[in-house]
Amino acid sequence: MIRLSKIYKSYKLGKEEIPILKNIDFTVEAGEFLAIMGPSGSGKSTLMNILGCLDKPTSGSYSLESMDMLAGKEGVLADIRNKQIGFVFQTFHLLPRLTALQNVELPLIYSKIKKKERRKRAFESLEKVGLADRVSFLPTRLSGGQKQRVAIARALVNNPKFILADEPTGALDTKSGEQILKLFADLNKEGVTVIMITHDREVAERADRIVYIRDGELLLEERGESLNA
Amino acid sequence: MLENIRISFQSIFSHKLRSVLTMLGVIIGIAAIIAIVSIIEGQSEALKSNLVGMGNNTINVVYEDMSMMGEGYYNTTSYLSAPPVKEETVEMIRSQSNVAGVSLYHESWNVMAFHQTNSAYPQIYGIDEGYFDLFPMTLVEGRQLSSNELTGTSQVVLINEDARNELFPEGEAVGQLIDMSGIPFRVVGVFTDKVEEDVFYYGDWTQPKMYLPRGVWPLLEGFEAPTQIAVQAISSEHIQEAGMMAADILNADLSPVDMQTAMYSVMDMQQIAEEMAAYNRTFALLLGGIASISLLVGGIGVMNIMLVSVTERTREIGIKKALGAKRYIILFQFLTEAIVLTSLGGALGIGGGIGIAKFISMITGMPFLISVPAIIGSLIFSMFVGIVFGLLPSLKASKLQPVDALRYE
Repeated sequence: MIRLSKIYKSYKLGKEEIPILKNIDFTVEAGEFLAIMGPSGSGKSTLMNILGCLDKPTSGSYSLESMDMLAGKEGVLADIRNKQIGFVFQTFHLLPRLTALQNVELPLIYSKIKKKERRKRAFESLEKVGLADRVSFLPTRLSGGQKQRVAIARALVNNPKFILADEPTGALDTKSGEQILKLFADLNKEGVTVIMITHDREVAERADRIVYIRDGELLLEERGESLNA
Repeated sequence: MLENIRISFQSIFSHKLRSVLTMLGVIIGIAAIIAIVSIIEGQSEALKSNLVGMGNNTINVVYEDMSMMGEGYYNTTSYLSAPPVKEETVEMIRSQSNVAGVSLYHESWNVMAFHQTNSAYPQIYGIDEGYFDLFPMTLVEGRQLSSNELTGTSQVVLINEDARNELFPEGEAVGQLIDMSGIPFRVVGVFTDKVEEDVFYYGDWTQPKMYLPRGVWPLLEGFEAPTQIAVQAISSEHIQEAGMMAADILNADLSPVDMQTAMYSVMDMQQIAEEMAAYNRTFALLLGGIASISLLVGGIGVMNIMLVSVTERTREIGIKKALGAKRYIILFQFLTEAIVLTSLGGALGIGGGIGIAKFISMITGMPFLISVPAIIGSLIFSMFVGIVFGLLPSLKASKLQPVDALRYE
């Protein structure tokens, strides 16, 4: 479903060109639960930004179901982020002045979906992550785990092609982190494609497949079978 | 859009002090403009009707003796030589489209008035039925002169408060008799001529005045008494025009011999009023310039605070962009906030300006007029200030790269 080929990304620092990603090639199938793992500075955040259409590579190609993800201008990329990708961030990134429901509604507003429909879908999404009783809470009144679940509800609400989670348990205690990972696993069982970026091996091992990245290069892949073996 | 406005209000109210300080420039600028416009409009309106129209769109057509006009004289009226005016001529003036009313009256300062041992030296008017339409007055005692009395020769009189005070210092005036040139006149009512808000024309100065029917004038002044003509125009714009037309009609009746020495004309108050208006315009331009500078400074303040707001909300912008908000959504959000901010400032400024105008008019006695076009104009202008000075910060916000914005702490 997702195909990255020969992704190269570099930043210019003065006259020097610093490569961040070198020749990244990999594919993700629909329904997969993939972890991209690497230490900090490995380039995994840059890779996640490219996967999330938040940034463009210097060269290479990126396609989602035969759709070229790099061809469009900013407006097209915004549409792709809105409809094809569900983001979950380490620090949740909820808007503090909006209630849980309003936060979940945001992607639907940008899709120009009518208010009534919006409310209904946002509520269903929150129900799915087990927060039906917290819809009118502001983020400040929610625990970390609850905030992340609101973020997941927001990621799911527009039925994206895949969920892109950046260190989703990074800011959570073990217990809530465990709940979030279980939620991802459950969603994956229902057919949601999940790509998770992490530096934590324990977290990465919850995925079906791990892709290792170091110094901007993919090192190896582990299949779920070998993981469990 | 409505959502944007709601969010803007929320964000403005969450930083009350900052918002008020930011709006201050706009508030002061708009308040200054509204106050200036209110006072100038009030003043020129008062000038127009008071100076030109004697408060009631009315102008006197005077019979001027040319021989007495010279250097240093503006208008010198020689009442004594004015020929009587024919009834058809009056009807003809009355039928003009810009004329609302005509009154013929006599005026005299030559007659002493007595009641028992009291005496007064009043200004006496012999008036016709139309007079009070042109020169309204307020009755305080007794009754008005009736229509029958005004068209007939009843020996009745209406006196003002000053005349009553002089002739009837401690008694009832209504029903009493006043003696003028040996002829008794019965007092039917007392009126007041202290007209409020007419400080320009009347001031505080009053004197005894009496109104009696025009028909009895020959008893006091003889049949050859000159007549004065007052013309009321349908609106303040038509005063001069109506007066000149009436003068032309009256002049047409004069014999060529008369015309050599004297003819009817009206004072060109319009010109004076226009000069005053031009002066007011200069004044308005000057103060408007100062107000504009204040608005410019206010606008820069708005721009500054909007830039701060964009920086503060970089992460929020990043989140929204990551979730699929397009550029224009971010642009509109910030632009709306800037417009709401300046419009709110404008609205407060309008309120403040009206207050200032009211206050100035209270302490100086200058009239003021709330100008609806100025209010609407100010609101539009303050919105415009918001657009102009909000555009740069909003564009900056909309151009933020989502990656950079999300990374911002």
